[in-house]
Amino acid sequence: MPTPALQRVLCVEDDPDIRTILEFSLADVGGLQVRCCDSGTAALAALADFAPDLVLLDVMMPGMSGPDTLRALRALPVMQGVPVVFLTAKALPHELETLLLQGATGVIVKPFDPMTLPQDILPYWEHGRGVAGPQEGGAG
Amino acid sequence: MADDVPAALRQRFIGGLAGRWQAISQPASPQDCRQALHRLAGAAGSYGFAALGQAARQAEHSCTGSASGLPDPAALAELQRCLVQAGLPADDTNR
Repeated sequence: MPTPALQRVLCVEDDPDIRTILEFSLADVGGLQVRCCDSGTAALAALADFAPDLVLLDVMMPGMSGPDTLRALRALPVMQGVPVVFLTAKALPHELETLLLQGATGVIVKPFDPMTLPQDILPYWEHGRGVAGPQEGGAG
Repeated sequence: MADDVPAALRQRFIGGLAGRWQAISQPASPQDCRQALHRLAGAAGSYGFAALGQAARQAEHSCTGSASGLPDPAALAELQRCLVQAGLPADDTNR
């Protein structure tokens, strides 16, 4: 039986320039199906017609923060087992550890490299499928 | 690396720098200034402007030690220099 591939990524990010570069990176470079949302609320609504294999979630957003959004996603049955990776410009080790303790599958530090991001998220996708993978990242 | 980002996307990012600078240099509050710096620090490097991103991060960190909550003037001057280097017209950083 062939191994399922990572296909659909939901990106939640309030900065339009970062949404643009995420879409370029994941869709144009990585060949993935991408849905970008500008808030946690919009991301929850998008789940009605977009079933992500993995979620990239900004930490600092107005309204619903990244951790707020993560809690809301984790409460949904359809999101059980779906890896959620924080995107953050906070890079200090204790900050990354705090984010992981909130239940994220991993953390990718901004700025990320758009040319390698599609590869950088694969270990988190593997981890979410129960294959050994990293819990914390330094990608980007 | 991020230098491979298409020119059109980089140009669009540069086109938004004036607005980002305004949010940093004329913020409604110190918190708004810090958020604008944080966002710029997170975005610039992915478009290939590593020095600009680092300058924004330095300016963001300098807010922590300042009584006003605003960035250190020297950090802000360095950020201004990096913005011009990235392609923002110098006149746009003097408004």
